[in-house]
Amino acid sequence: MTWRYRFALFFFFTIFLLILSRLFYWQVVRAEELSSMGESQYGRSIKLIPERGEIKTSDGFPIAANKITYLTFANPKEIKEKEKAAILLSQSLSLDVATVSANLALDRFWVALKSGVDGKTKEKIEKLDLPGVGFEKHTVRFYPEASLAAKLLGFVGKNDDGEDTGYFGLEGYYDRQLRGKFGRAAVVNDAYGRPILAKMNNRSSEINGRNLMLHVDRSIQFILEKELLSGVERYGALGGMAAVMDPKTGSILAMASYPSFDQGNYSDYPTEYYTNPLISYSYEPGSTFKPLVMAAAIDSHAVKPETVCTTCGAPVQIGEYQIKTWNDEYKDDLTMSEAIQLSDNTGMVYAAQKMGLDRMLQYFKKYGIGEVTGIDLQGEMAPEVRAKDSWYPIDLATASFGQGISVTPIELLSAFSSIANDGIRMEPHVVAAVEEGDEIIKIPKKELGRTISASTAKVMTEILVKAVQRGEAKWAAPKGYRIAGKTGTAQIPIAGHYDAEKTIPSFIGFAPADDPKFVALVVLDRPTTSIYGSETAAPIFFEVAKKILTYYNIPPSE
Amino acid sequence: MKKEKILVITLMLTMLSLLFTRAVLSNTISTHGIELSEYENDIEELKKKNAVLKEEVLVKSSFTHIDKVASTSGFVASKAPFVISNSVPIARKQ
Repeated sequence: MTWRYRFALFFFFTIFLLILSRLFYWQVVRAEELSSMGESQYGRSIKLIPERGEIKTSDGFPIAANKITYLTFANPKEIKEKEKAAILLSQSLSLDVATVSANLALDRFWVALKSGVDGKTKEKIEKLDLPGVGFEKHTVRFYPEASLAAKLLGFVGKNDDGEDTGYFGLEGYYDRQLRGKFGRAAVVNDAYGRPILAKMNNRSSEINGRNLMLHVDRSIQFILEKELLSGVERYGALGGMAAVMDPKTGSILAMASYPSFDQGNYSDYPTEYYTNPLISYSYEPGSTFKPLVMAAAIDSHAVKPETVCTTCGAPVQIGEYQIKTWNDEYKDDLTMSEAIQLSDNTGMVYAAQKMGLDRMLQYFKKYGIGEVTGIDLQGEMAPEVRAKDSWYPIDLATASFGQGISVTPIELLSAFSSIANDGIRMEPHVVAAVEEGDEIIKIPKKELGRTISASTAKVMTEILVKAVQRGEAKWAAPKGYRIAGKTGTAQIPIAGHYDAEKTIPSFIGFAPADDPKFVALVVLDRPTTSIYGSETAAPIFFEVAKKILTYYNIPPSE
Repeated sequence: MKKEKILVITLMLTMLSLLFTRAVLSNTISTHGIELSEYENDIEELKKKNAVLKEEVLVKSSFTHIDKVASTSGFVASKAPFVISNSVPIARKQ
C-alpha cells in the first residue's frame, strides 16, 4: 500500500513538474514571440503615410506631384521553376538574368527585385502568373516637366528613419508644409480573418501635405531654361544661370542654372549639382554692379548724370595701382551718364571718390549687399562686406566697378530691381500661397525699404536705356522696345591676380523701361567663344526679353 | 404576489426581446465588415486608377512633352515678335 501511494505521489508530482516547465516555456521563454503571433492573427496596426503636397506653377500646373510605383519582390521558396521565372522577370523588369537568378537562388522568404516599377509593368508581370512574386505599393515624387526648374525645386530623398524628406530648393525650405502628418489605423479581424466592423473606424487620419502655389510662370521658366541652355552651348561656357523677377512684387517668375540634374534620379549626379548657384554662389559682379554705385552717387548728390569727370582722360593712379578702362580708351569730357553707357571704369572711380566710402557703405546697406535677401529657398548665403576700417582707397575704386566685392546673383538682382521699382527694394519670393484643402493662405509681398529716390530711379533708368541703345550690346537688343540694362565682364581672381581670359560675363536689365514687367539677370561661367558680356550674356538676355514681351502681349513702343 | 409575478414576467419578456434584438442586429451587421472592407478596396483601386490617369495627363500636357512633339512635327519658333494687342472698341475708334 505504501509503495503504491508513493508511486502515485511521484507520478503526479512528475506530471506537475512537466506541466510547470512547459508552461514556463510558453509563458516566459516564448512569451514575446507568441504574443506577437496572436496580435498578428487578431489584427494589426498600419502606419498611414500622408501624400506629399504638390508644388504648382502660377497656371496651377503641378510641377512636382506624386505617382504610384511598385516594389517587385519574390519568395524564392515558393518559386519552383527558378530559371524560367528569372528569364521572364528579367525581361519584364529590364534586369540582367544573372541578377534575378542570383536573387531567386537565395535561401530567404523575401527578396526585393526592383523598385520604382510602374503600373503597366506590374500588370504585365501579373499576367505571367508566377507564384511567389508580389508587389508593394509606394508613392514617389514625380516631376511632369522632368528637370525643368530642378534647382529651384530641390528633390525628395530619405532621412535616417527612411521617411521622405525634401532637400534643397523649395522641397527643402517648405518640407514641413509639404510632408503632412502620419496617421494610424487598427485593423482587427475575427477568427476567420474577416475584418470586424466595430473596430474598422479605429483610426487617426493622416493629414496630407499642403500644396504650394508659386509665382513661377511655367512659360517664362521654359523660355529661360531653353535660351540659357542654348546660350551655354553656343558660347562654350562651363555653365550659366539666370533669373527673372517682377520688380514691383519681388515675385520670382523663373530661375534656372546649368549644369543641372534630374530630380527623379538625383543620386546619379554629383552632389555639387544640387545647390542653386543663384542663391549660394558668390562672384565679383563686374560692370553689372556699376548702376548701383552710380545710382547711389546721383542719389546722394555727389554727382549728376551730366557731371564731367575731370580725371578720366587717362588711367587713374591709386597708390601703386593703375585703373584702366576695359578697352584702354580714355575720354577727357566723360559724363557720368557716359561712364555707364561706355562702361568706363575711370568714370566709376570718379563717382565713387566723390561719394566717399561712408556714403557708399550706407547705400550698400540699403541695397542689401552683404545680407541674405530672405528668399524662400534652402541654402541662401551672402558674402559679408568687409568692415569700414579695412577699406583702402584702392578698394573703394575697384568696388565702384564691381571688382573686389562679392555678391550672390539674387542679391544683385534684388538690389538692381529697386531701380525698376521707383527705388523700393522688394523681398524676392518664390511661393505665392500655401493651399490646404479649400483654404488658400496667401503670402503677402514684402518691402525691404527704399534704396534711392523715385526721381533718381527714373534718371538711372534713362541712363540704362541709353546704355542698351548705344552700348556694346545694342546689336542684340530687340527693335522697338525700350529696355534698360547693363553688361558686365568680371575677371576671376585666381591666386592673387585676375585671369584676363577667364571671365564671368553677365547682363542685368528690365523691360519695358517705363513700366517694368520683369527684371532679369543672365550670368555665364567662363565662355570660350568670347570673354565679353556684350557678346555672350547680353544676346541671351535679349532673346529671353523678346520672348517674354511677346508672351506678355506687350507691343513695341518705338 | 400577483404584482411580483407580473414584474418577473415583464422582466423576462424584456430580457427575451433584448436577446432577440441583439441576435437580429448581430446577424445583420456581421457581414458589413466584409462589405466595408470591399468598398475600401474599391476606393483604393479607383484612387490608383485616378493617380495613373493624372500622371498621364500631366506628362502629356507638360511643355517638355509638347515641345518635343512640336519639334518632331516640324513646328519652329517665330523669329519676329508678333503681338496681337487688345482691339480698341469701334465707338472709341470714331
